[in-house]
Amino acid sequence: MVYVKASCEQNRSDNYFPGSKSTQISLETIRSGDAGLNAHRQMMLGRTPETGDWARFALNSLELIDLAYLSAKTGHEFAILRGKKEDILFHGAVGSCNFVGVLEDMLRAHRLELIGHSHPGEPDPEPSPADRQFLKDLGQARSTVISGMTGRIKEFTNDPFEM
Amino acid sequence: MLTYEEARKIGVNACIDRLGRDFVTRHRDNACSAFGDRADHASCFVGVSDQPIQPMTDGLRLTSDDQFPFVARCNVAYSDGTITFLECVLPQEA
Repeated sequence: MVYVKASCEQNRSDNYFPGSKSTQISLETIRSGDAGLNAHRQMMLGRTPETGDWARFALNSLELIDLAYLSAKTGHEFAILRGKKEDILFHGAVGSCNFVGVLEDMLRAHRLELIGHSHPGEPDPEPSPADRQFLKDLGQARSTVISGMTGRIKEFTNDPFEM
Repeated sequence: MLTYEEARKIGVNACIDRLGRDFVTRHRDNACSAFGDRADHASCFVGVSDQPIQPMTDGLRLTSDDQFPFVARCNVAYSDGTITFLECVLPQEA
């Protein structure tokens, strides 16, 4: 496996605030095809071009906003998994991310945690029952979900009394 | 002025009360809270299923395809703590 350290600074051209108007407009232009992904995100998508693809990146090099842009481009869900030494980008499908094989094993062994995933079609994302079950199955207390339409983020829990 | 942490606690508690605290407690294992920091308010959500959510037996799955049958949503203003409920789907006992 080849580890790629994403050159985040030199490829970041957008000033990002979760759900800001500028972020929403930027995501809209990606969805409409009026603009393309920046070089950093093109590289990320290039390494995970199809549903079910995943790739390793340097630890802490992937950010939630990257998922929003990738979802805006493809209409698919994406997820960031994080271990002790690496980040993993996972390319999901239109309405789901299904982790099988090596990734499932690593998640169940707690060698990876779910940092966040994207919901392409929700302006204000909300966790689904399956998302909640995912945390429960892994014994993970929290994760995040980001909108591919607006960049708005919600943190979600496996316990309604957790706040 | 409220902090995000203060506002989201107010909002999640308000959502739980709107759904019914006993109801949420009974179905705690099939429920979750969610919250987000917005420009001038905290966006809060509690979702509850009154049926057990089946664990995955082949793989692990995240999805945006399904929704909790019972939900409460509200915004809590940082300026003064005003709670504004959005569309909720409440159990009959609420």
